[in-house]
Amino acid sequence: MKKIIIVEDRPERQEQYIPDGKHGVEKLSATPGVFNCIGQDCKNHLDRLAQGDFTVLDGYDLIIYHRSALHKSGLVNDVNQYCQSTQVPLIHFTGGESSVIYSHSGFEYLLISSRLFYSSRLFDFIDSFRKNPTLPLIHFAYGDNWRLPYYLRLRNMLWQDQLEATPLLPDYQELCESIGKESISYAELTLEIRKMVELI
Amino acid sequence: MKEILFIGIDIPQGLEAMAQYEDLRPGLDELRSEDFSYDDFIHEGLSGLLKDNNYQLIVLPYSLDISNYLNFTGIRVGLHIRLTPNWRHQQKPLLFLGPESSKEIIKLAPNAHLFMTSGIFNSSKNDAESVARQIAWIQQNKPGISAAEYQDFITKTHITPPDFYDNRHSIANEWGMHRLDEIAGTHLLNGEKEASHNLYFKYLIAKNAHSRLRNPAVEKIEKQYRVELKGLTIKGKIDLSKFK
Repeated sequence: MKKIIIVEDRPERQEQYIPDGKHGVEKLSATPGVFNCIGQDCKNHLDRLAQGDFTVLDGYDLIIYHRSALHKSGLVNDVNQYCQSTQVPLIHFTGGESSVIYSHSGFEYLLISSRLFYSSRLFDFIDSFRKNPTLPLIHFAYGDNWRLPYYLRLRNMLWQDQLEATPLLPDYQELCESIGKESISYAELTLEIRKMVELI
Repeated sequence: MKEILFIGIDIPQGLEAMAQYEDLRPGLDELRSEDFSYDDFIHEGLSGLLKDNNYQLIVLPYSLDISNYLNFTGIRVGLHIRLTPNWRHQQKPLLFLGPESSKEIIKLAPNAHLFMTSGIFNSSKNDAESVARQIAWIQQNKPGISAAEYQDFITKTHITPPDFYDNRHSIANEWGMHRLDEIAGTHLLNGEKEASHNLYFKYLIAKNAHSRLRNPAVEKIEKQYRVELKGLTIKGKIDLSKFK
């Protein structure tokens, strides 16, 4: 069973945002494979990290933090380094940034707002991740439309550089690989984008 | 002095003499840093540039984001330009370049309402000749928006508050503190960069224009007592770090 840790230093916010409030928190804590690290557990966890003991993260397949919990202790970069060395994907949620930031360079990283994190997508994502741990984290933010930002960026690259005939830039190839393709043309991208936009 | 600022989009051949380029794209390490905020990044990246120059036109893409195109950060930059009076480019025309259709922008971009307002242009043509032609047309026909058009922009604009506000009361408390500091003329919060960088606060300030609240006769009287007013002291539960 894939294991996920969620570290939240403000449990009252979890209760405020999560669907069904207190019942939702109980459901999250009871979800098999999920350690909902709140209250005293959260305090102990952060204390051990502050002492340099990162073994508290060993064995998890996905690590999730409220970013401010780490920021207050000056541990953001240390956890980033842990995830880079172990290649465990990392999600930060925060109330301070409304954008969705995603990167899979070095290690897979997603930053989303607290509101989006504690939405109905949380349980869907946990379920999908346990079935398919290679699922890109950006699936959390956009569900089945997770390829859309890739399509838009690829089309913009081709539009800017007029590369349709020779799509050889490393960025282009890396982005194509991210969507499971060797290459994709401007016309194909426009078609895929149009299909998705029609249904949104 | 350069007339045109290109943000995150290459200057087409033939326009180099009149244009300046600014990248304004955060690197991945910066995006993953402990307190990264797009509003801070945009504000800090553009403040010096726009305050010290007088561009006649700003050209930018819909998205400057290398991590997630769907953030449409170019449009957010456009809103910062419209909502930051200190930069002195609030009424300048903005030209967005990119392959996106209007339908895509309307359905996907969080702040697509910017395109319903005056002085906003877009084009999907990417050859130097077409871009140069459009720039010349804008400079000749719409060098800026009027005060009435700016007011119309404010009316049509809606910026959602950041998630860090737990409820409407916390927004009201911080907004009240900001306005008190401004009206009292104590300006203690000027040094708090977080408050002035946040797009939502810029929007609140523009929407509730200071000039409409103040009577010039009262301002004259204020000058007499302001020297006696030592200033506000920030105490209690008001947490300015929340503006980040």
